[in-house]
Order: sequence, then C-alpha cells, then structure tokens
Amino acid sequence: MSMQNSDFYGICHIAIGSVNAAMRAQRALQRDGISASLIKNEGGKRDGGCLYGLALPCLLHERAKRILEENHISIHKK
Amino acid sequence: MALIYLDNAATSFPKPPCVLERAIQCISRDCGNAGRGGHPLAIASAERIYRCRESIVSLLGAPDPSRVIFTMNATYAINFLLKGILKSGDHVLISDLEHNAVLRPLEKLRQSIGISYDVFTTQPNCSAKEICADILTRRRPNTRVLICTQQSNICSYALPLAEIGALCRQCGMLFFVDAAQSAGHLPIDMEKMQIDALCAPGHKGLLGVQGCGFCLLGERIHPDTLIEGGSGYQSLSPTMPDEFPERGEAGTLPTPVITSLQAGIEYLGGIGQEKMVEHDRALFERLRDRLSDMAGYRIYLPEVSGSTLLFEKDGLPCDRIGSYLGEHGICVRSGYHCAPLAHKTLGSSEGGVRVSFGAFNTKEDVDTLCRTLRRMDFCHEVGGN
Repeated sequence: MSMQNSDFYGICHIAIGSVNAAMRAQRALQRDGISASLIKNEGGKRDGGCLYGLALPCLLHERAKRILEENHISIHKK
Repeated sequence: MALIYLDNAATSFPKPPCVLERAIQCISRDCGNAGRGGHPLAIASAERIYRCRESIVSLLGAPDPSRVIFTMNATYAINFLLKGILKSGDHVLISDLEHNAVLRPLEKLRQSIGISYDVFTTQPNCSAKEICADILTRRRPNTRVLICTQQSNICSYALPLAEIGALCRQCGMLFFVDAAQSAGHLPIDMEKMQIDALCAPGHKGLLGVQGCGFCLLGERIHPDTLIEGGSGYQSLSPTMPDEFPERGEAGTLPTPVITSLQAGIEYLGGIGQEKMVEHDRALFERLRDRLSDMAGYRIYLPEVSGSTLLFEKDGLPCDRIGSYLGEHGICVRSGYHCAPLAHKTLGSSEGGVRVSFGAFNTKEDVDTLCRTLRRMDFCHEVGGN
C-alpha cells in the first residue's frame, strides 16, 4: 500500500521520491484542483534514506492516486 | 564618469531591479537548502527552484522540469553533457564557430579516452542547405553527437538549428546546443528544433546573477554523473540516484542565484522575444552604419545583425582600443574571446573588439561609443593620448 493515514485529522501522506518528483506530483494534482503540501516523509532506512511526498485530505486520497497514475508519476512502494 | 556597458556577451549588466530584489528577498526571508529537509525554509527553497525549472522549460520549449539540471555555469553544463555521454571511439561534429567551452572538453576527451571530432563549415553565412551538406560529408559511421553554438560569441551569426536538428534526427546523431549567447536573445524551441540537450548560463541574456547555468536534457539521453555527492534523496545508497535532476546535481544548489534567474526570465517575458530581437538589431545597425562611415574600421559580418558586433581598426591593436574605451568608461571586450576557431573562421586572426548589446543599452550608448572612437582616432593621428 503506497498511502497511509498519518493522523486522525484525516490527512493522508503519499510517498513519492525526490523533492523534485514530489513537486512534479504536486503540480499534477494542482492541475486537477487538488491542493497538497510538500512534506519530507518519515521512514528512514525503510525508504533508502531521505524521501519526499505529499500531504492531502484523506477524502481525496483515491482520486489523487488515480491522477498520479494517469500522469505516470510513480508512488513510492513501502 | 558615467559607465556604458557593452560587454553583455560576457555577462549582462545591469540586472533588472526585480532580479536583485528577488535574490535579496530569498537570502533574507527563506533561504533554506532545497531537498535537504522538511522544514519550511527547505520546502520554500525547493519551491523557488522548481518554479525556475518550470520557467526555463516554458521559455525554451524543453520537455520536462525534472530534466533541467542546474550547474555552476554553461561551461560546466557542457562538460557534464559531453563527459557524461561520450565513450571511447565516439566521433563528434562541431561547427567552426565554437567557443573553448565546447572545444576544450572535446580535446580533453580525445586525449584521455580516444574520442575524435571534426569541424563542419559555416564559413560563416553559408545557407542551411550548404551547412547540412557539409555535415553529411564529414559524418562517419561512429558519429554519435553533433554539438554547436546557436549564435557565435564574436558575431551575430546564428546557425540554422531547425535544419541541423532535423538532419541529426534523420541520421541518428544526438544534437546538442550551446545557447550561451542566444538564450534570452533569440527564439529557442528545443522540441521543435529536435535538440537532445541544450546548455546555457543564467547570467547572460537571461539576466540572472552570476553563479548558475543549466543543461536541459531531452528524453533520449541519460548522461553519467560528472561529480557525485549529496542529493538529498536515497541517502543510504553509496551511488547517485538514477533519476534527474538529482543525478546531475550533487551538492547544494545556489537558491538565491536560481531565484534571481527566474526573475530575469519573467522580466524578459515582459519585454517579449520579438522586441528583444528588434532591440538588438536596431542597435547593431546603428553602430554598423556609424562605424562604416569612419575611416579605417573593419566590421566582421556587417550584413548579419544581432546582439554582437566585432570590429577592428587599421593600425591599432584591439587590446589598445579596448583599454582606451575602458579608460573612458566604455566596457567592451577585446582579444580572442576564448574562441580561436571562430576568429579563424571570420578571418580575424589578430582578434578584435567585441561590442555586445543587452536589454538596457540605448542608441545613445552607441553614439557615445562612436564619439569616443573618433576622439581616439584623433589622438592616435596626432600622436597624443
């Protein structure tokens, strides 16, 4: 599963990869009207080191995933 | 003494106020290290840099912001490209107008790993058809890359990139362009011109401050790294990431410099590409016409107008002219301009005096230059200073 609920306020994190890849993903979502914040993912060794991603309302989680797939943006596999 | 700056081919000066304001704003407000943390300043810097990547892509018709590789200057970008792509046994074609930024890395690769290169003729002012015919005669089965400048750094001649790009694609050669002089002055569309990679500085025609250049990579190439180090990503791996731009950007990027470059590109967008071309042409023609009326002056390629004019004066070494003008507050560049191939092609074997225009030059600058040259001529004739 490439997305995870990160807290009870209903914010989901999408792990992407480098900061630039995450910004590319952010732009793709913006074009579809989804506002997402750039974050540095927690993960450490599991992710091979530093990793960036996006935080967005969980309500938009599935739609965001579809948009990223349509834009050929890889979601980091945990 | 008021200063008149006519050396914009070396670096543009002055910079638009918005360029300085943006750099200062970045330094004083939110200059973190992009891609090196998740705190607000690191994220703000990453955003600034990514916005500049997007502006460059939009201006130059490049395919993808992720394939904008920031470097310290255009020379570094060309080194990154050539040394990251060429292998032993490869053959390269270059034009007879190339700067040492292209010639020297190739000569180094010839000596170190055994590549070879040949020079095709522009002569200059050959037609596109003649240039393409010459390229075909020099092409070998192992010719992998053709790299050329878009516009010479010592005259305003511009190579027919669209025709050369089409030929390279047809013949299976990679097509690289050195846009050091043309970016910001001439229209460029990487995709339409079928350019596989393009290198440019941020501080010349694009009006940013000194400290960065970039290499734009097309989809067909994947250069090796030139240097390795921190990328802020995949930190536990001992090797550089495979994906761009991180693969080509080891170490901290100069966020204020890149931020200033984006402001410069925005400023140019406000002027418009067509107006810049017309501005350069009008100043060139004014200077050409005035110098043509003065005794003993030779202008190289007077029929090709643009941002750069090269001249010499009978009986006066070019460096003496450059020094005289400098002493009178006029900045031009004399000598060989790091371009021995181009000087040989133009026939300016003793070098020359280069006048290069920028966005802020005026016709009054041209008139003052000509008045100063007339005074120099008079002093020279009467043996004074």
